[in-house]
Amino acid sequence: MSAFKVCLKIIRSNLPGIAIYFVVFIGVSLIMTFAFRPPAAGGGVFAPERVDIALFAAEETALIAGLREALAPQVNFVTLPDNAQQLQEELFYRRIHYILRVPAGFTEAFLQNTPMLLPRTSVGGSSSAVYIDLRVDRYLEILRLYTVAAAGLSLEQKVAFALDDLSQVVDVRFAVPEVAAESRGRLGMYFNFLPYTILFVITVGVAAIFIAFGEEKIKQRNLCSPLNPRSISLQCYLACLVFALASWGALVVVSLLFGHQEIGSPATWFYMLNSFVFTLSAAGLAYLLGNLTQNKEVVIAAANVAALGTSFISGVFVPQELLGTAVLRVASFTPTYWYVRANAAITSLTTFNLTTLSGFFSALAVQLGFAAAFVVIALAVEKGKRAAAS
Amino acid sequence: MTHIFKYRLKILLSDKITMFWTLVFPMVLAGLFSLAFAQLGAGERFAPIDTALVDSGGDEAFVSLMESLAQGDDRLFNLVRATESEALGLLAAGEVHGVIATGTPLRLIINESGFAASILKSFVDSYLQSTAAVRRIAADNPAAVGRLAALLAEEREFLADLPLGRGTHNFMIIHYLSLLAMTCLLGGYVGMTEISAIEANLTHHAARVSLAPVHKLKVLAAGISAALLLQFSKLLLYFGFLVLILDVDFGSRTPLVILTILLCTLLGITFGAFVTALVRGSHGLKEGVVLAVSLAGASLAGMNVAELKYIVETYAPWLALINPAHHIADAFYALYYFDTYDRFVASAVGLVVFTVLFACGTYYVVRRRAYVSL
Repeated sequence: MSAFKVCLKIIRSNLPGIAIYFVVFIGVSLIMTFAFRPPAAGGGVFAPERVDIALFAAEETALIAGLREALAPQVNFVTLPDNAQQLQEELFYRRIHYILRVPAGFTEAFLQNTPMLLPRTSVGGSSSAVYIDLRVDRYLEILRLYTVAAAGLSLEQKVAFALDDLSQVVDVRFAVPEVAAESRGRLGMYFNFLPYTILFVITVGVAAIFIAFGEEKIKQRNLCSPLNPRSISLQCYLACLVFALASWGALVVVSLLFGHQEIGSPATWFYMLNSFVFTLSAAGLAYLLGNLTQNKEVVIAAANVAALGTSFISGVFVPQELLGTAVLRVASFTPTYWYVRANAAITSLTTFNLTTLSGFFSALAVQLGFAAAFVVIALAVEKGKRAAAS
Repeated sequence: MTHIFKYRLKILLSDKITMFWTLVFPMVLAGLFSLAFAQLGAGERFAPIDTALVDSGGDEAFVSLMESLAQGDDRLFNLVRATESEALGLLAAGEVHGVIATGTPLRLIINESGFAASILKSFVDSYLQSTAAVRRIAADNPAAVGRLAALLAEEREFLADLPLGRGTHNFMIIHYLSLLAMTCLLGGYVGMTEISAIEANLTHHAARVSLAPVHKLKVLAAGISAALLLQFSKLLLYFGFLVLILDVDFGSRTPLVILTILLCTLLGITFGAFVTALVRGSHGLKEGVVLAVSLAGASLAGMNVAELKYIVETYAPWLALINPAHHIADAFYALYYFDTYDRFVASAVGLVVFTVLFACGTYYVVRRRAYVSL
């Protein structure tokens, strides 16, 4: 196994450079994991988040007071001067997410059923702004019912009834109350960001082996050696695999540092299994890229495009449910898409049995298929190069 | 000096690898972003929500409403009627996003919060609230019931969008701006090439140049000028690609945007020069540092997840302060969004400070460097 040992020595000598990428990417993954509150899974009450908003009302009536009361469970009212530049800055830095204005004469127009709109400014793409929009719409819609169909009531009575109706909410329960929601959610997110790190680090590490073995004089010496070229190739692949699995192990250890209380949960082991299988396909892809070119910069460039590009279109950063059908179709030709799909399947499951895990195992099988395909193509490319050289 | 400038320019133009990193790679990524984000802003793609309905009787109106919303191509739900145990089994298997059980009270059972669960809750809440209002009105004034149906069916808008500032507060542009920031910082490869060309211990070419009767600073100035011209041209090309091909909106202050690109070009080149001069190690290690810092900096400035930029600003402002990619993205966003120039000037000052730091740091390291032997 002399070629195998040499490959490991090459990786060891390139460790400082690889370690920089490793630390940086893990750092960014951890920041992204802890920066976001994971979706609550199990554990209790479905509670809306409170959003910081500014409300500027040009009139104060029972309708406006009712609007404030309707929004109160979901927002924190922030008192700010009505200064455009300052408001721009507050929105820019997310100190507020939403500005609602009530123009003068709104109450009168509303009671007359005359259309008059409430201008609002919100942070684009913010889901919290959508909830506030819904809340405002619901309050005014219900109040409109009373205004049109119960004209005999005073405005105060209508507002009181509308607020009482707004308090009617569905009883939301989670299927499995005892699941430790937060840490499992975080683990799911951490493992979701993993392809970006794994693909890049493994490809860069493996590239070092192929650059060394690709040198003309080294190639010629190896051809003279008693070792079968196929044996050398397979030993190189084995070294790639060992490096890939060591990288995977390091990433799993990091995950257990913050998710260790979840070690008893089946979900944790399935996340690890999924990431293990993905590592195999990443190792195969790295082996293929290394065989296609011995130029280090080209390999690093390809690693970047593969890691970042496939991560974007496969749902690592943008959830798959938000991506277009055509994009997902293209992404389905990458192992990253199937990894993210399997990860999402685990996150949503509360019961783990063969039936509920069928989708997960299918995604694993596809990833294994990719791994095998990459290695086969790489060996074929290598054989083709040898044949061309001779 | 013109001679050195001309030949440095030729050498840089022939460097295909650097050309890839500083032009082709960002274009490929921007293209992938455009592909991934194509459907996000429009909101036209809505997949029906897989829902299980457990009908224990007593609320035919609700069941009828659910069934009507589960019909047609633009349906809201993919509805499955089941018993409670069957429905919970489907939920556990992930085949439905939620289970709605009729009865008093109406119940919604979910696995996790998320888009689907929020839409289900919002829908059921609307039904309960409207029903409560209708019941109260009908109890007081039965004659009004007929009118209520028409009112409920009528769609009425109450809100209007009022943009504040020059541009809309667009999350998507953060991705492109942080990608532009990464592209500017990847200009560090060009800076690396220039420092490697004069540091005699780094390349054979530099060893020969150091013997020439030309002051090192002159050689460096000519090289940096060539690098600046080439890198600025590439960034302008990239900017044109973003604006004209991908239709990314940078606002209306194009001259200032171009000036900012020039400043960021200089920042990127001096950054690469600084890393090359300071970091002891192989060329690969220095390249790794430039790439890692560019990728990490851009990630923290919102390239992967736009909200991360603001989270870092809120909870780790020191990290935002020391991240040049953050200042670059902020400078462009300030031009896009604000009416006034205060924010832009603050970001531009940050860019200038970084550039001066990197340039002075490079000069301090490489000046009067002599070699016992090479």
